[in-house]
Amino acid sequence: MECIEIKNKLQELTDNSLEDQEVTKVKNHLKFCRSCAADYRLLNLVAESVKALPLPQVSPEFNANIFNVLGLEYKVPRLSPAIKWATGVIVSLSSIWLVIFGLGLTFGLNKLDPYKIFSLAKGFIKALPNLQVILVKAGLRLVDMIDLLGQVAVTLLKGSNLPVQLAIASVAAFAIIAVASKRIYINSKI
Amino acid sequence: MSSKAAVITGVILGLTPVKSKCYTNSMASENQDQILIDRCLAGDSRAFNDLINLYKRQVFSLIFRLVRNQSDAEDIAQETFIKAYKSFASYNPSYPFLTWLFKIAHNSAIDFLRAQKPDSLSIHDEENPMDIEDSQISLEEKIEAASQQELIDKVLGTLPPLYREVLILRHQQELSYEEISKTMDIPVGTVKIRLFRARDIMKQKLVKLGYC
Repeated sequence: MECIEIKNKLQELTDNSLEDQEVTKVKNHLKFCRSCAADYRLLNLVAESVKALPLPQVSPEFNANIFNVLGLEYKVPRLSPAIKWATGVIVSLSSIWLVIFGLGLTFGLNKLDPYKIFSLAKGFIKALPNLQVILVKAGLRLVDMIDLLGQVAVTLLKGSNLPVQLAIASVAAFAIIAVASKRIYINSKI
Repeated sequence: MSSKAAVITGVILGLTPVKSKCYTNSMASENQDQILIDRCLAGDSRAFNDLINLYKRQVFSLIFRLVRNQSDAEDIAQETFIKAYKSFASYNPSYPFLTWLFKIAHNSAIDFLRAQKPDSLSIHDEENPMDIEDSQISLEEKIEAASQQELIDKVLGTLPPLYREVLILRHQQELSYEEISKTMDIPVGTVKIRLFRARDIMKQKLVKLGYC
């Protein structure tokens, strides 16, 4: 095939609308013809760049304005900031628990003692330099909360053995993360 | 496992749809669009809200690339959804919903452009695309464009609106020739000609900017 003929086919090649036989012919030509290959690269650049153009964001009032014009009641449930924060804290705690469970699986479940882990974490934060007093205080409060939650959980589960306790707590942690993530995702789509 | 337990597990793991959830693009099949439209027709405004959330960015993007103004594009996109809501009763389910929505958006944007600048829609002689006014990108603009993407966007902006639209519909929205033909209400042959010429002009402008 001649270059003129090929150049006419390049657009169709970009659109994947060429017959298989012609695709082979055109691609063979592109292997040794620099001019046609450069043309094809540019066409692809245009196609790929247009495809990758970002979808612009609409304003937050977009839906409400439409509902307003149509005289429809616009009531979309939104999570309150308090619920968002609470969800974040629960997800964080659940994630921490999953990490602890992972460590337990790695080093042996029978060696995992929640109290030892909490006191280690507490000791680590206490050992931080005085420069970060505020952070340390905040950290200590968090550790105390985790400590308390851990004690409550252990008291509740007292009687069963450690692997069972860990399994129950981990399933609960996974469920919390799954549900919370889903709620956050749905809320972000609104 | 009982069926109730299976449903609860499915909901927890995100496998089972829950009531009043929004739909992701991947889930939004034509069937689901139809379900949402039926719910809209039955007076369920939350279904309409879900439909808007599903398609507002695609509709807005198309209009924005056509009119090149955020505020005008948003007004026209809202008008598009308002017109769609009022026409749900006459919607033909055999027609893909997004294409139908794009058709309304196209008509609204064209009306707007026609009212603004009647000659802005002219693409001169379809047989002689080189007659199109060559609005150049200046060197300053080239330097200002932080990325290749921005530069392409600027070059795209210099094309006549109808050429821009056909490029967006084909490459960004990934519509087929037939779908573009229905959206823009032109024959498939004209779609191909416009698409080929739009890319050709883009290509020539990029060569002038040093891309080769």
